[in-house]
Amino acid sequence: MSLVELKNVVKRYGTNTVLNGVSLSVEKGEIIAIIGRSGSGKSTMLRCVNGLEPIQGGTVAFDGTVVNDPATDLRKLRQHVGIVFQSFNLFPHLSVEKNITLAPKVVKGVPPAEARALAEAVLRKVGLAEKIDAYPDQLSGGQQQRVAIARSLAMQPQLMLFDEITSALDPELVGEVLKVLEEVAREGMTMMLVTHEIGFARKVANRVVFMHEGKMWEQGPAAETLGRPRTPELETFLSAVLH
Amino acid sequence: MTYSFQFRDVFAAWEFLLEGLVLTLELSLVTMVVGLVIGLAGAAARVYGGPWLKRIVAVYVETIRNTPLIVQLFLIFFGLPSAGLKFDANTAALIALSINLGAYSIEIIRAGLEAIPRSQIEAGQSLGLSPVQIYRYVIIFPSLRMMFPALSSQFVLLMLATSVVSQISAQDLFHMASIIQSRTFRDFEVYILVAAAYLILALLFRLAFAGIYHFVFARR
Repeated sequence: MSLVELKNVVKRYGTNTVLNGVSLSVEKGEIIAIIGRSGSGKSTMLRCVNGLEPIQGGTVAFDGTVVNDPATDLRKLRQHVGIVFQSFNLFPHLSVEKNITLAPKVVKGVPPAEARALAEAVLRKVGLAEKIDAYPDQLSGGQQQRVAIARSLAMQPQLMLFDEITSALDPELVGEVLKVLEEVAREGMTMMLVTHEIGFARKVANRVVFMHEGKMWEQGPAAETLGRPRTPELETFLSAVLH
Repeated sequence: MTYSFQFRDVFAAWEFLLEGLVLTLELSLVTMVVGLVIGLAGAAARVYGGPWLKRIVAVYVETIRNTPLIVQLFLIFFGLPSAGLKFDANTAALIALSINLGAYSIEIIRAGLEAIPRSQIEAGQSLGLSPVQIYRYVIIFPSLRMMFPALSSQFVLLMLATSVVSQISAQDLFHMASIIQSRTFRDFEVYILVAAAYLILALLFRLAFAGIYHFVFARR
């Protein structure tokens, strides 16, 4: 059984169809890069996986649980599916430690001392151990995004979703975030990442998915798909982003 | 125009004034706590509740904000007994003031809630937090910080407005002033003194609110 299974997913905003029958399955341990033009539906698809976007047709399943079933306890599901957003979305009034420990404490009931140790551990992983008592507005964009990754890791998810997490960063800060991503990937985390970093996708992802006009247009092993696109749309897209 | 001030008789009745001051202070403080609780719950219902809940809260808020406090007070103290609900003056005053402040607080806090970006709520949801947990840990603090100046102004206004409770014979500062006035006939002196007392009280409240803001909301 695949960890994530999308079948004929349809998502509309009013009369505007954003996802037009998307099917995709992700195996445990896989790293999937999702690329495509803005407006192609890639972020929307990602947000369907943890139920942030309700869908109008098809099914989304995570680990056998149907995400779009109204009877599904989304809170429980989301404890196993982490997401990191383009704009970080750290809680501005909480310190780095509290940002990270909030969910473990109130959702999982981890005791405070243990939670602090957990925060220290995940911060070490993203190289920000010394920032544990800082507040988000004291950090650079790259550091904030690394804290957001740490916050997500602290819930020990089975799957992590990354929604264009380097798009809001100054170019010189992109590298440090991608380095952390590689580190997370190396530990065997199942990951779906929407990205514009084609070079990074080629290097880290097992599989690349190209979205176009609300459809899963083309997919395959990263090097092969990016090296020899089968559709003219992907070819056009790649030549636009690579040059 | 010559007028010779004579504060002696008025000062002699200081115990009355003190007693009134204490009730004014008590009414204000309890009302602020109750009003804040009503405000937090009502604003959450108004922003995140279902359509019916939203409507009910909207009717409450608009009814209270568009009728005079003294009318609300009289309805509770003189009106409700006809329906079998009888309160003593202090309780009626507390109820009327709390209902009144609650409505204004809802409106103020609502603006704070609506200013919280949707992405903050999504971040909370994505971490598995329940709606109540998101409200409590993610939304309330930044909203209150944002709305604190407006809210504290409203609280000071409320403290000043407590003077209307003298109209139902609650023995607040203003009521006591009337008693001293009727005994000493030093109208000018009495009301100067009472004005000064309200002024000092208001300034103390503002100072206290500034302190709360400094220590609770403005970290570092």
